[in-house]
Amino acid sequence: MSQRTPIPVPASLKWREFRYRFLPLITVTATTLAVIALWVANVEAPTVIAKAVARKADLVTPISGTLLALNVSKFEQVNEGDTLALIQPVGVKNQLASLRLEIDLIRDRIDPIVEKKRNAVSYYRLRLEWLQQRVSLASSKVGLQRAENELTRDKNLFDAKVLSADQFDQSQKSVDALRAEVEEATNMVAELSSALDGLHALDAANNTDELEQQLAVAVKQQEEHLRRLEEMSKPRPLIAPITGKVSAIDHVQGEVVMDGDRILGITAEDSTQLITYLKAPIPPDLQLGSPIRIQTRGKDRRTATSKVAGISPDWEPLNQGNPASASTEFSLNVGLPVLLTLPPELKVRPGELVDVFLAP
Amino acid sequence: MQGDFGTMPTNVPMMMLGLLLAFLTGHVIAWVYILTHSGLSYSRSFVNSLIVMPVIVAMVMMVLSNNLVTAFGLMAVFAIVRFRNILRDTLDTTYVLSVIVIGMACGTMKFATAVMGTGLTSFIMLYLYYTSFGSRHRYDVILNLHWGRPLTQIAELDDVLGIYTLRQDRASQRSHEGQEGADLSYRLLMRDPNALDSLITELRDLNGVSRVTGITSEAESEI
Repeated sequence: MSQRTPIPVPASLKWREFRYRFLPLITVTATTLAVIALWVANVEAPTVIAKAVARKADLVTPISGTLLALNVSKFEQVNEGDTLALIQPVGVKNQLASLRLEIDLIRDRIDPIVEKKRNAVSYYRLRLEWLQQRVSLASSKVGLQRAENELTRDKNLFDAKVLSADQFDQSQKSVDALRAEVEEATNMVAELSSALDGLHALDAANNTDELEQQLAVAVKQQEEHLRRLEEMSKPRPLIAPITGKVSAIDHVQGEVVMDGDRILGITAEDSTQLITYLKAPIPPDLQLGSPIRIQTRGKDRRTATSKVAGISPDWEPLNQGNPASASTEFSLNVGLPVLLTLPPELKVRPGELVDVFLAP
Repeated sequence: MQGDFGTMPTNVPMMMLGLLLAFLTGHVIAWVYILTHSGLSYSRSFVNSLIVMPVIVAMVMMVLSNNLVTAFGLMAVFAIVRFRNILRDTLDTTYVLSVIVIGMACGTMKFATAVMGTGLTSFIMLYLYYTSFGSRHRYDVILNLHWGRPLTQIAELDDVLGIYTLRQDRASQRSHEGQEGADLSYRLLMRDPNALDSLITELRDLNGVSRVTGITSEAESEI
């Protein structure tokens, strides 16, 4: 074995060996450390994502009409009770014309009643005539009775030669005339009675006032209808149901809107809760009040501890935005809705997303 | 650093993480390729592409960001370049792809992505060049000689070679019938490439050594 020492390696060659052999190792090591640092700082995988929710309200028009005035603009602050819009109803004129026709119809229904009343009057007139004839008959009968009595007395006087034959004949003729009168009156009363029996249906006492009652109800209804139409013809104000900011405006001033249309949406400025959808498996210790760490997204990440405020009893499909999937009978992509309290220090806007860490 | 105005805000640390992770994983794959490659088709530029390509692809996906229109744009632009130029080298293709993606990043207003992607891609390219990554620099001299003494005494020759080299490998050894000794071929990694002449002179003075020739090899002529 040689005892000679190896020749020295030049510095340039040493540097070359460093570049070729060690620099890649150093670079990869440095990159690995950088990746680990970035991973730890940024890729702490959130378990789920939650969305901040706030009170929301839609201002919906209860009537069809023209949007007469829209008193707010988008993102404007409104207070509960503010008049935000005016709706001028349309179609009242048509309804009034319809009402007029209905009143005409009611008036037409009155004519038969008038005719009926007239017949009733005639019927009573006939009954009065009948009564008058009966009175005359009774009177004639009384006169006949008295004449017959006088005739009997005159006959006795005539037989006793006290009364002349002429005077007796005169009495006899009076009785005959009264008998004829009674007979005639009796016939007249009988004929009138028969006629009245035939016209018994015209007797007002036998007629109920059902028709008149119906008419009275119909007139009352039309009065109420007219009152409502008068009320409807006035512009209808739309009142802000909650305090917040106008988040959406769906119609512009002057536009015709249909009843049930949303005019604008209002969102409260402060988020109240967070909602998230947990996928299976659900942590077994998840219950109301369980602390949950949440973190805002974006440049300045803020962390806070939230609590479970509510757990839905049933699972919901998570692909509602996909109509094709929504049409299927059931979806495999489901989540359990869970409400979380929102720590106020996070200052999360409604709709903002935050990361939720279920693991401690 | 907030310089992206695309459809979605860019998380710069996450972007850096993605690019560096692509570089790291590509590097690992390249090392595995170098270690396991066999055959004659070894290409240093291909190995370099294995490192750069993941970074560029990561940048492509950041720029596309689920945008189908941009994706079609990438295909169209790359097709235009590809069919107008025959890119024989894999690394050339990588360069073309990188500049296309950087242009797309600028065009889609992802300026931060463009700047950081350009910086990292350039750094990787320079790193690959500076470290001559992918070159299997095992030997720089091929030495042929005839050893006229018994092979059992060849340790004397190895001692001389050990003085001048960091690594030596006897690539071939050919004996001749009826003759003592053998024709030997060594691959040497010189301690000092400039000392080749001294080595050859010393070998010629060594008893039993004849027909000494030395050929310098440039990284096994790898491209």
